[in-house]
Amino acid sequence: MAELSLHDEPQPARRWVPRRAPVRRGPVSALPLESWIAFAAVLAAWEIASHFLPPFLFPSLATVAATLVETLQSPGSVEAIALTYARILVSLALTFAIAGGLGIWAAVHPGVDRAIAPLVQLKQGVPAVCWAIFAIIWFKGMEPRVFFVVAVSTFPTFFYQLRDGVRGIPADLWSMVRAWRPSRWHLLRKLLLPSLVPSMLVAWRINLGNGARITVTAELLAGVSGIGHFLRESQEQFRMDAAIAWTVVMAVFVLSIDFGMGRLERRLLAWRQNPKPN
Amino acid sequence: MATESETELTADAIRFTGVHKLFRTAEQATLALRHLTFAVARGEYVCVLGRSGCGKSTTVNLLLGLGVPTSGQVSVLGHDPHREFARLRGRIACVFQNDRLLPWRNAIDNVRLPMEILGLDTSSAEAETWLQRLGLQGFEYAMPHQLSGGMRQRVALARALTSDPDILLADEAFGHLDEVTGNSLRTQFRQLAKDRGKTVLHITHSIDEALDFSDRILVLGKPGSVVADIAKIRELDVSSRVRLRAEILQHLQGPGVAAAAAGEAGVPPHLWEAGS
Repeated sequence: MAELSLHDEPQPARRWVPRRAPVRRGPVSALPLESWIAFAAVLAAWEIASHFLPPFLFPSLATVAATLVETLQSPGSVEAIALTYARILVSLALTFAIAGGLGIWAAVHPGVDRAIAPLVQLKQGVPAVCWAIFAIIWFKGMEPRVFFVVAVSTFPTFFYQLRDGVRGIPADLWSMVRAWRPSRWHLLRKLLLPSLVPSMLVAWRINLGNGARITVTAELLAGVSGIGHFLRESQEQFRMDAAIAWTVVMAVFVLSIDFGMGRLERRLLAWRQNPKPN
Repeated sequence: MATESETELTADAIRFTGVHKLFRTAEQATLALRHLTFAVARGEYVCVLGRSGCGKSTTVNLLLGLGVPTSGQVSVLGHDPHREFARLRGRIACVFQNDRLLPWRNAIDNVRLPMEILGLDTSSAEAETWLQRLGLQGFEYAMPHQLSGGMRQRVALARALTSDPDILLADEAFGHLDEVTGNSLRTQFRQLAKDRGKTVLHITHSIDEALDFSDRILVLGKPGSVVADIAKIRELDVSSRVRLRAEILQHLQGPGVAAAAAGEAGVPPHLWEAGS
C-alpha cells in the first residue's frame, strides 16, 4: 500500500486535547454589580416599609428570615416541601415520557401528527385554571388532580419541542445512518435521542417553571397538602412572613433545578460550545 | 427461482436494469432516471460521470436502498437493496459528498458508528487503525467542528471502510476539497479499495478524476441514462487520454442527448428535466 501522507493538515506530535470551554461562574456570582444594587434597593425599600406599615402587609426581613428557618426546621413543613417537589418532578417526568413519545411518533408518522396536533392546539385555547377546575371535579385524590393539571399544561411544550426536534434532524444524517441499515432501536439511540438533547433541555427548562407554578396553584385551589396548601393557610391567617417563606422555598427549588439544567446543558452540548482550534 | 447462494454468486456486484425514477410533487413530476441500465462486476472500479441533475445521487440512494425505483430493477450482490434491506447490512458503504459526521461524536466514535450498528466489536483497535492509516493519528478524540474539511472527510472515509464492506460508493466525495487534499484522498481511497478487492462505484463530475482512477467510465445523460460506457481506460498515453477526454466531454455536452434519449423511450418532453 502506498505511504499515506497529509498535505494540508498539521501532523500533531501529541494527542489532541480539545481546548477547554471557559470556566463559567454560578448564577449568583455571575450577576453584575447593577443587579446586586437593584436587589439591595428592593430589600431596603421593603425593610423601610416594614417600619411604617402593619406586619401582615410588610413584615421585617428579620421576621421573614426567622419564619423561613422555622419552616425548614418543622418536620411537617419539610414533608410538604418534599411532597410538592416530588409532585412537580414526577408529573413532569411522566408527561415528558408521554408527550415526548407522541411528539417523536408524530414527527415520523404524518397521520399521527394530523390526529394529535389539532387536539394540542385546541388545548392551547383553554386557560390553565379551567383545567384545575376540571381536575377538582373529575378526580378525588390530590395526586391525580396535580398530575392531570401539570400534564395538560406542560404537554404542548414537550410535544412540539420533540416533534420539531426530530423534523430538524438534517436529511443527510438520516440517510447516512439509515444506509447502515440500523434497527429501530439503533436509529433511536444513535441518531434520534442525541439529536433531540437540545430540544429536550429547552422543553424541560420551560416546563420546570410552568410545572412548579401549576402544581402550587393546584395545591392552593384543591389541596390539603404541599406548599400550595400552606400558602393558602398563610393567606387565610394574613401571615405575609409565612407566605414569603414558602415562596422562597419554591423559588429556590425552581432556580436550583434550572441552574442544574444549565450545567447539564453545558456538559451535554459541549460539542456546540468548544471553540475551534487555531 | 434462484437459491440464496446462487443469488450471492452472481458475477455482478451491482446491476441496474431499465430503472426509471420519477419524483412527483403536487406541482410537477421530474424524471431523474430514464431506463438506466448498467452493471458493475465484482472488484471493478467504475466512475460515473454526469452533469448536475443527471440523477447521480438518485442512483446512490437507490443502491443504498433509501429509495425505490418507479420501474425497473436494482440489484446489489444479488439482492434488492430496498426490499431486502437487512440482507445488505454491512456489505455496502458510502462516502458522501459532505462528511455527514455526527456532530456530538468525536472522530473515533464517528468511525465506530457502523461497528455499533452492525454489532461488531467496538473495543478492537480497528477504528483507531483506520484513522491512523488515513493520517489522523492524534485527532481521534477531536470533535468534528475542530477538524478541517479534509480531515472530516478522512474520518468519513475511515467510517466507510471500518465495516469492511464488499461495495464502496463515493458520491462526489472529494470534489469539494482543495486540489492537493482531494488528490491525496482520492489516491488513498483507490489504493485501499484495490488492495482489499472492493467493488467501487465512484460518482464524480470531474473527467480527470474519472480518467485517473477508474477501470471503466459510465457517462450519464440527462435524465439519468448511460450515454457512454468506456472500458479499459487505465494507463493511457497522452494522446489517447486527450482524445478520450474530448469524447467524454462531447457525450456530456452532446446537444439533444437527453431529448433524443427521452424521445426514444416515449417520455413526454415536460419530464426531460431531471433532478437528482
